[in-house]
Amino acid sequence: MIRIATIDAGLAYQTRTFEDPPFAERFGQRIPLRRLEETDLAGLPCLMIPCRTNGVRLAPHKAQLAAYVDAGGTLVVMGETHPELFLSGLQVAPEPTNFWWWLEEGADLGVRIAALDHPLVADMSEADVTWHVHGTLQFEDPSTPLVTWSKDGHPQPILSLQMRGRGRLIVTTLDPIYHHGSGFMPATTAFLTRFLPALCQDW
Amino acid sequence: MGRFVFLLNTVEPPKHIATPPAGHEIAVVDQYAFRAQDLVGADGLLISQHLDEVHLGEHRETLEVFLDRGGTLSLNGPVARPCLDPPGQYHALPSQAAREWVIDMGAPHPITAGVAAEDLTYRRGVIGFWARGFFEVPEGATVLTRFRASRRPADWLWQRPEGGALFVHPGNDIWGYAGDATSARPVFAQFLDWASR
Repeated sequence: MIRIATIDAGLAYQTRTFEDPPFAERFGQRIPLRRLEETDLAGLPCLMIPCRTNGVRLAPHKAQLAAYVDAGGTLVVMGETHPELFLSGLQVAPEPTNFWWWLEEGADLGVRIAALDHPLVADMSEADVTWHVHGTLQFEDPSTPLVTWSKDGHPQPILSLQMRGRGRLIVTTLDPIYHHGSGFMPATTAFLTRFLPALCQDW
Repeated sequence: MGRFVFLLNTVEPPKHIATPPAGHEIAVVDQYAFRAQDLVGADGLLISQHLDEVHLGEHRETLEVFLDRGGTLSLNGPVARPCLDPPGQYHALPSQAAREWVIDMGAPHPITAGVAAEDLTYRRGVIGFWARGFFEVPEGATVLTRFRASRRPADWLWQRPEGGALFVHPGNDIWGYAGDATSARPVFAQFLDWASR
């Protein structure tokens, strides 16, 4: 079992997720965003860019992050970070957020687990990945969609895995750390309860 | 018309910061480029729930000097590392049950004039945006809204004995409501009016 190293942007909801139970034990080294440039990422098995870290501030570190993945690291990029600003070969098609979808009887946001046998999402239910959709992912090179959202009957990835160099890139538009750490939306706590331990396993 | 400073730590400024209501002026300053000089001539500083709290804590003295000179701070969000005390530590309400998050209006005040508690409690039927926890109220502060079930304070306004004022809102940034089609809409504009009175 490894611990997840994480960029720490000093946001309240990040702090609470990293420091409070039940997830504190999943996180190891915390790299203040302002110290990223001088931090040696080599050897970190898993590095997270947590929800709502400002992508503008990560853009100058694009080469450093690419080199980390290329050398065999696992980079996990969470939602609302604008990954297109600091990763190549990837675009996010933004979606206006529907905060109210679940108020209608029998409502279904349309989020699905797309790779039921993949260890990162195998233990999740649809309820664990269903709160808001902020955008969909578009990769230039082949990738594996793990969670999708259907728009007009066409499933689009919102959580994907892509092999890059000797490493792995996991990107999602889901923002569970923001909601969990803000004490708002229990599905996001359920998501992290399954996702963070899965990242810590040898998969 | 007032002059305000907003610290930016997101890719884009929020809509009602970029286009402020009621003729007010809001200067957007990158959080990491913030200097004490940015506050010269400003009536208020708008502190979002999306700031780097470690960085903000390094500017505590700047904030205190700004208050001492009569400035107003709008402090938003379920803070993890308080930059000032008061308000000190945030306390989440122990239960996330919807009934705990129902808001009542407190003392009448120009900031909340004309606002119906129901429009703070619910946005299109969804509860919890406005507040889910509280900060202890310093002596002499005015409680503008409360949680109905626990009677805990939600929003409060405190005029510091040393000068300046704090408007503490423990939930999602108040400017996020400035486009609502309900009575919650004017809260942000009325705060800006009050702070530049």
